[in-house]
Amino acid sequence: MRIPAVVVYGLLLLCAATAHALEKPIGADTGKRFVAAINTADAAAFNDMLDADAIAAHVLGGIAPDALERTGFQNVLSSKYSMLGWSLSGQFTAGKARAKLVSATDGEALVRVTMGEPGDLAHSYMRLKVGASGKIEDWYDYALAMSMSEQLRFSAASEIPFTTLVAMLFGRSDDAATVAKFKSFATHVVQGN
Amino acid sequence: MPDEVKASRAYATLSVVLSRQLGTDAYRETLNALVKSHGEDKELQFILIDHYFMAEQYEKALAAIAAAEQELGADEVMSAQRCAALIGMQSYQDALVACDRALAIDPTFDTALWTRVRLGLTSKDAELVVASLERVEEATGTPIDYDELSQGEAYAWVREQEPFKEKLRATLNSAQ
Repeated sequence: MRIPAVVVYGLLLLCAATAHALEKPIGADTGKRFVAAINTADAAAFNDMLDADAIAAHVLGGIAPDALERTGFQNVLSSKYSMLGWSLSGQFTAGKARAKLVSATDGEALVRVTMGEPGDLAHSYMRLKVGASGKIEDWYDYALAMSMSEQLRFSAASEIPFTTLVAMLFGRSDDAATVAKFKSFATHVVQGN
Repeated sequence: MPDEVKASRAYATLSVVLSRQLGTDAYRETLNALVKSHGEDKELQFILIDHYFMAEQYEKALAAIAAAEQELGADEVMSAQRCAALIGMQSYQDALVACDRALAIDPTFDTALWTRVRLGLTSKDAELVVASLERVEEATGTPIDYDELSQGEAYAWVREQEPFKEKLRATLNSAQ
């Protein structure tokens, strides 16, 4: 039995649609631009592809002391991160970083970053979380075993009240005993033990 | 330090990151603690490869590489890491296969090129050392100074071996 041409055409369209879906353009495109920004040490391009508002939201996580307070924190952090790409780009440049896109899906891109001199290279992987706008909202750095937002939470300490910070770092601060324990933790850290 | 804090992944990974500034011993200690508390976490397998290499636990390093491959894909970095782990286990034939797999993916991959040289040195295979050094030259387009290289402690054995001496003579003759 011959397959009608219209069915073949339909199948071709279906295959084309599937192939398009498999390409997952948002993650792949952002991943490629991220790689190019690192490889050409283009700090401006690097900064432009970071979504400071989304990064601030990730740093705050699920913590919502109240709507007004959260908006305030969000604005402070968002403003602070508006130039984050410039400082990160400087770190990549100083480490002589070279990047390569490993794989991409619709909302993610996996990038390998190599730093150092020939004969003494260090490799890491970064899984970028890409928003619908194509901007980067966060990433997980496998060499640090930490996401960017987790790292930024520690530096956000000076902007945020202690109990909120504890909840951001460790998931909860819903009782006095927990807060007391984490105050003890902070004391131990400061005292170096 | 409260146990509840010590047990958290945030604390364990932060300790690892900070300990890098304090030297190898502190880094090893915090990685060891990370293994004990969160050794099965799939997102941590990549960082734990380092730990197993430093502890000379090569079979565990292989397992961590395999787990990291599930998360990150089987690329040339993972193959070169596998080559290094197999060298540690003295499984030299398998190590060569792993190194060559990495170089099949990227013939210019520096880490795999030099790991292959190390494989030759460790397995005391002078022909493999010379062939691997030639691959480095080919990949980088830069001639190696075999005379200078042979002064290194790691090359003490191979510089007395005929394949290496022959290569050294050839390079010195061509330089004259």
